[in-house]
Amino acid sequence: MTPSHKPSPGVVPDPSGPGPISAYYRKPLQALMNTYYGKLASLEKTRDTPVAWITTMVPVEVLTAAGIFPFYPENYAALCAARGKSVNLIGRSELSGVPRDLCGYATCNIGSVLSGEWAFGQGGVPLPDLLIATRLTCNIHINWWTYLSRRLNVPLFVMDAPYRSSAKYQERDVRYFLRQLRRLTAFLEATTSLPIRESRLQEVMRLSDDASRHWREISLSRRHVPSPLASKDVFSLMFPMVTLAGTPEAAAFYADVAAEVARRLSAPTPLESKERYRLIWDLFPPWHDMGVWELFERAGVVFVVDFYADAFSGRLTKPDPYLSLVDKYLYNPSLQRGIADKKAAIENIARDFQLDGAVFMSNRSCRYFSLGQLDLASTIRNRLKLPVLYFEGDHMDPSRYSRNQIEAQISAFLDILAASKRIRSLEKCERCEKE
Amino acid sequence: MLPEAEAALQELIAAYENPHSVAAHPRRLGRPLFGCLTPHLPLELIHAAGIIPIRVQSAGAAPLSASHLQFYTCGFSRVAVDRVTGGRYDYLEGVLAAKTCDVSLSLFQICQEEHPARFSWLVSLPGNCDEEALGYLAEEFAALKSALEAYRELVISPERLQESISLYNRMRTAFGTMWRRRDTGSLPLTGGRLVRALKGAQVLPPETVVSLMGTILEEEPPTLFKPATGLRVLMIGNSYADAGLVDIIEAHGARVVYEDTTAVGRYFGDEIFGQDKDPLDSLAKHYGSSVTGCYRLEYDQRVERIQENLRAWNAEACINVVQKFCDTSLFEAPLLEETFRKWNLPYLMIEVDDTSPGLRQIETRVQAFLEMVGGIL
Repeated sequence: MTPSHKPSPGVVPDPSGPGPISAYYRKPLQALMNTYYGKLASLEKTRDTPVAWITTMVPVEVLTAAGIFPFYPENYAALCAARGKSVNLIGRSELSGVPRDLCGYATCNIGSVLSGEWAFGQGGVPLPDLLIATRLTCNIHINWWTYLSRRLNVPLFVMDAPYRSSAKYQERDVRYFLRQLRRLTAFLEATTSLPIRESRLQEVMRLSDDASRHWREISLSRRHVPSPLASKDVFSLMFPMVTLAGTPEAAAFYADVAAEVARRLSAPTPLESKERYRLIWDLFPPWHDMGVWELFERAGVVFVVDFYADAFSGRLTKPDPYLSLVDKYLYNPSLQRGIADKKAAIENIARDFQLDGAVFMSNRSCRYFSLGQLDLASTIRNRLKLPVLYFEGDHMDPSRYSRNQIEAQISAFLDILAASKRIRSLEKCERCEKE
Repeated sequence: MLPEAEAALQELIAAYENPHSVAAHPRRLGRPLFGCLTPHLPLELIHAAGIIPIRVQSAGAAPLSASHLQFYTCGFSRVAVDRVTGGRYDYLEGVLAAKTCDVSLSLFQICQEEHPARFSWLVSLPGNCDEEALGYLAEEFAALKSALEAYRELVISPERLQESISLYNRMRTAFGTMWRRRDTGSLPLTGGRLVRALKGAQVLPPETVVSLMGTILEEEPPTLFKPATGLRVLMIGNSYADAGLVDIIEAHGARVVYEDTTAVGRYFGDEIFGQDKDPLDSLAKHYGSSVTGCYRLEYDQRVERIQENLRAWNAEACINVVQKFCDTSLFEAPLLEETFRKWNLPYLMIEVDDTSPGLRQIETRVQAFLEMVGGIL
């Protein structure tokens, strides 16, 4: 066993050896998940803490500071898909008139609400005391939350947000967003009677920022060749980042992972890796078929860039907590960026991460993030001259995901990828000889 | 209908049939044309800057859009991308959009990237409709005003803006009068022709529209004909390019008594009451709350508006037209269905696709619905 750094209290990695980071941290990660889902199940019975169902990009730190238990139906829907439940739940939702063409997270969650069936069977998730959505991401959040609010007769708060491509926010945008944050705080205090003390908010934000800072170190480590993180690592490791933001457990976990990654990078012996090709993955993984990545892994593909996981790791560094929340949520580079910005950014990313190509899964049930993919793919193919795989699928609904077709496409792409890399290295040699 | 009125109506319908004819319109008077990719844009403000705002909307195959938008994106956007990137709108000097939905953002950005106009502007439309949101929208409009003034090298005085508001208000009043006269039988017009005329009004200089409407409504003829009978249908929903849809509804014995979709009724909306000190505040109230749809309104507000229209037009049934793959409308569908069931009022949702010209399948559904309702009533 390679000697490791001393783990943080409560974080006990796999003693059997380093391996991929996510495997190394399987047990601590599992422990965090067990605690979270255990608490979730107990809340269903005790109802002793207010439960808020929130969309991604709701400033969760404010809720945590108030002592409200946040639950992310999207994150949980991914779990349902991973456990093979999504297809039936989506079907249940469709039976009630909610079309299958809508976001799979939404239809899966509504299927659960209507049937009482969740990832681990009947029950296990408390219904909400309040619902909070934000317009920082897709429109569908608002419709989904409205549907839930009417179906469950639960108060709903919609936090509005301005939009600027290139994040060129004006002073009026920031003012408006700050007012929305204040209204959110007032709504939480009025509906739960739980006060939000600024000292507690500062503490939660410090913990949240610690986790974000370490996450960024982990994420940026993928620039190293070979990458210390395997393809699935990022998606496996992101659970605490989303679900436990602002808790000491998440901060300690990521501090530990970041230290382990740093240790691996600075070890005197080079990293053991089968990495041959470094690619971008865009965007959600097919949660119901994570096995598809093995096809890539077997060929030596490592996904070193994705545009999803980093969305949750905005920094909170300003002395005024509300201005910090503006930084993290309004100026989030993963969300409110136009096609032109993405196209401009991709050149730097390709250089910094030494990319060999890109894989896009056009996600039938997520228009928000699939829009712009075609333009980005064409920039990578035509301007950067890198091979691109673009296939249709669905991150939640296996019935709209043809594994056979996708396998054939991956196989052809891997051949192109190998040829492209050979050609580029020959061209590089020729250039070197000329020089 | 009097011959002059019929000729005026024909001119409006001709503009619907060939929206690009505006480029050579004699009443354009050298003014630049700006294309509006979405609703919620302050047409009066654009007009006050000496510009003619026209709506970008058409139907038909959209092959060029396949390089930018997936097939599961709404047909309205795919056609718009196809036509703009293909150069069909090259006569536009400017392109504007408001953030109405996720796809509208991409639509604007693709047009901006692939076929940049000399002036392009995206209004950050707030999602909420409360006072705070409307205040923010007024600031947005003020920023647009400054940009238009700089672009046109002129000053948009409050008086000038008020004149444009009055002009558009005359147009709105005329639209309302046309629906009402048609309903009482003093305007012999099918719903399909009326909708075509109103769509034509979206791509003509407003002065021309007001003048044509004036001719149509100038003389109220004696009721020489019986008002059309049939099931009184209210149309709600979002965008659809082909007015043939209204013909289909009326061909099977129903009568569209009013149309409140973003395609027609809610594009201009009702009159703007300029009681605010600053006309920009009046515009913000109008475009921020009264013309909006399910993508921004709280469900109760939305239902209240539908109910108002049902009452005002004494409607006996409702047809909700939804552009295929429009998330917000699709999500609203089950709630609306429940609401109408509660009201015990016949309701049908139909999905249309602007890229697919065939309305036959829809016709079967509409026919079945109307026959069923006819049997019940």
